[in-house]
Parts: sequence; structure tokens; C-alpha cells
Amino acid sequence: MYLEIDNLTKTIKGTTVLDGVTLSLERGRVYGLRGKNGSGKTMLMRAITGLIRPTSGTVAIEGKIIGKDESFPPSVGILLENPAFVSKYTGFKNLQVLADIQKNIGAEVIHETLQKVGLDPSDKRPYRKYSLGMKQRLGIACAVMESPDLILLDEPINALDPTGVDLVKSIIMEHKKRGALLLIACHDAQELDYLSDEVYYMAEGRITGHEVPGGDAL
Amino acid sequence: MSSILKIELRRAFINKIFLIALALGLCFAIAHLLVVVIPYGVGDAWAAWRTGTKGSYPFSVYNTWLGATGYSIFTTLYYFILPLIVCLPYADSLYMDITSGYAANVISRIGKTRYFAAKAIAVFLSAGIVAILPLVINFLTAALFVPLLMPDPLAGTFPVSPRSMFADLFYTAPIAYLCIFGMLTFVVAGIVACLCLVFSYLLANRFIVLIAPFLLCVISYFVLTGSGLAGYSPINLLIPAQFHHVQFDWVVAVYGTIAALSTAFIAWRAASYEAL
Repeated sequence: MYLEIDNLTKTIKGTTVLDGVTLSLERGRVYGLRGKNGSGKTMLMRAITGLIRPTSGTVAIEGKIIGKDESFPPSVGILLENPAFVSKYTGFKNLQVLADIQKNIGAEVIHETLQKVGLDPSDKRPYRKYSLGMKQRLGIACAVMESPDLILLDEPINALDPTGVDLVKSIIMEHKKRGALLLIACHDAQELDYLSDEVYYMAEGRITGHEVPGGDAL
Repeated sequence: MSSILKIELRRAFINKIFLIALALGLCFAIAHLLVVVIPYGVGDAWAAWRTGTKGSYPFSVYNTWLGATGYSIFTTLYYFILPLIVCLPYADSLYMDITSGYAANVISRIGKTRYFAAKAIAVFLSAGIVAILPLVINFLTAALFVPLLMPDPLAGTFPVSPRSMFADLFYTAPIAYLCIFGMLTFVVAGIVACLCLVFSYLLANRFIVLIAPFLLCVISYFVLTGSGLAGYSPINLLIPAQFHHVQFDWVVAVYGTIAALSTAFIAWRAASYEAL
């Protein structure tokens, strides 16, 4: 398995936000996370990316424990809740700045990724002037532009119009085909079932169920 | 240079607020040139000295530039607001990055240590540049109008007394003296701005984070003035015209401790960073 989560627990100021989560996820598949607000979906994604430290339990990617063997997953793209960028930079400039950190991709790939999410790469407007939908598209472009092995998308279709939703679906399928592991949290049950190979249910920080869309709930 | 440092430096320096902060400092430096330096340089007092009708030793650039005229409103105001303008360009960026979630975007790509280190370096350097550039421009322009005469301790007109810090240096190698004050200004401005990084974790409002070091400097200015230690407040310490006596080893001890504690705090917060 590519991603192994073993008995992951996180307690913040006495409140248990993740409670003994155990999951094994493999590449080339899309996994959905479904649950009410505060059920622990976003916190689980943060723990997988190494952005929060588990109180107990482990997250391992290809056998390497995050926070011990590696600080962060070596190849990860994330969209966590609201996308966050430098407000005075254009969308292209924002992605270029982030891409410059690892230097895995050049301007052409950024250009292409922006077009895929329906944004104009030559748009000179700063990020602060973007609509909510445009911000969301830029967040998705940022998560996938470097073609990471692991892609975590928290509510990726929030604020998107039907065209945007279709674009996101095609992007998810494209990255699934190339062998990425995608984990998606989404309130829209229909869209999540459509996109996911497997759906996990979460409540009060625990995995409470597992379903293969089109199959039986487990 | 690491890619994250380049990115942070670009964000710190290619930035309208950086230019505004620099322009604010330059306003004082230029106003001082127009009101104090140029009228003296081209005026009757200087002309009279050249013809030999004035006293024995004229005012030189070492007692007419911005750092030497403690009596001037421009000098007083410049050094008073210095702790504020050095924070303007980039010191609140950690607070903004963390609260917006942008820090998580970067940290997931580069790691915590390099992100926090690059942030601190960019804040330090942007503050240092904003602090000393107006002073350098003022000094060099003043030198175009007023001669660089070697300071004479017997003239009694220079703002450095025998008890002042580096007094010997001022009267033997004044440029070296000014360079040391330039470095001191750069470092203390950098330390003051880096306090915003500390306050980013202690306060919950961007504006308050930005002005907290300034308020701290103002409080220290009034408290230390009352206790006879006025020279150790950053507002007084950095003025090369030393009206308050300080000892260099105590300056190093005080500001070194502040810098060490700030660095330790930021390192601790970097190590324990979580995008909650």
C-alpha cells in the first residue's frame, strides 16, 4: 500500500479530533471522505500531509513514517479548505512562486494547468480580485500542477459552477489514470460517489463506514 | 541561495509597502537636507568662515547630517518612528501567511525550518535596509554641500563627548564611527522587526502585531528615560549624536539577549508548527 494510516489519534486542547483512524490506500485510486462538519475529514488530511503532528499513531507513505522518517510526504498536492495565496500576485505568479520552491516544473506546465482549470494564464488581475470560484480553481491548479503522487482535495467543488465542476472531475480522472492517489472530502454525496472508487464515512474523528459506490455499504 | 530565501526576499523587497516605508524615511532625510544642511552649506555662516571672518572651526558634515543634529525635529522624528517604519515592509507577513493558510502551502513543499529561517532573514534584511538607506543618502548628499572636515575634540561643537561610546573612533576615524553606527542601526532595526515574528504568535490582530515593537520601543523610551538609562532605548541608542551615555558591552548584552530570546522563540514555534 502507498499510504498507511495506523491508529491515528489527534487531541487538541483536550478534544479528540481524530480517534484511532486506520486506513490503507493505494495509488491509482480515488478515495472519498464523507462526514458532517467537524467529523475530522480536514484534520485527517492535515495529518496525512504532516501539517499536524499525531498525538499517537502513524502516517506512513511507502513505509516512511511522516514526522519521523520524513517531515512531509515527498510528493503531495493539497487543497485544504480555503485556498491561500499572495493577494497582490496574479494567479500565474502565485503558482510560479510555489513551483520555484522545488523547481519540478516550468512556466509551460503552469500555463497548461491554469488552462485546464479554466483560468486565463495571462490574466493580470491580482489574486485578491478573483471571485470565489476563480480562487477555488487556482487552489486546485496549485494542488495538481506538479503532478504529485498524493493529491488531497478538501471540498474541491465548493463555489464552482457546473462547468468548473466538470473541469475538476476531468482533472481528477486524469491524475487517477497516471497513477496518483487522490483523497477527496466533499459534502455533495452524488459527486463524491461519482468520483470515488471507495468512500469512507467519518464521524467524531473516527472512520464509521466504508462503501464502494455502486456496491454495498460495509 | 535557497529557492525559498529568494522567494521571501523578493516578497519583502519587491513590494509597495517597502517603497512606502523607504519613502517615509527619505521624507525626513530630504526635509532635513532642505531645512538644515543646504541653508548652512550655501548660506552666509559657511561663506563667512571661508573668508576667514568666522570662528576657528566650522560645522562640518559630521555635525550637520541627519544623525548628528539631535536638536533638529527631523532627526528626532526619524529616530522616533524608525521602529515603526522598519516593521512596515514585511514584518507582519508571518502572521498573514499563517492566518491565511499560505504558510501551509509553502511548508508542505519546503519544510518548517527553511521557511521560518527564510522569513526571519527577509524581515531582518528589509528592516535594516529601510533603516539605513535614508541615513546613507542624507549623509552623502550632505557631504556635497558641507565639507568632510576631520572632527576636532577641542572645537566643542561635535555631538560626541569623551564619555560617548566610540568617542575615540569618532575623532580619529569618523567614517569608521559612522559605519559602526550604520551597522548598529541595521542590526537593531532588524531585531526590532523580527519581534513582529514573535508577536505573530502572541497577538491576534495584524495591525497590533505590526505596531507592537514600536509600542514596546516607545514604552522603553519613556521608562528608561525616567530611570536614567535613556540611551539604551532603540530610539536614543541609534542616534550617532549621543546625548545619552551607554556602554557598548551593555548594548551587546541587552540587544544580544533580545535577539537570542526571539530566535529561540521562533525556532521553538517553527519546530512545533501545526496548521490547525
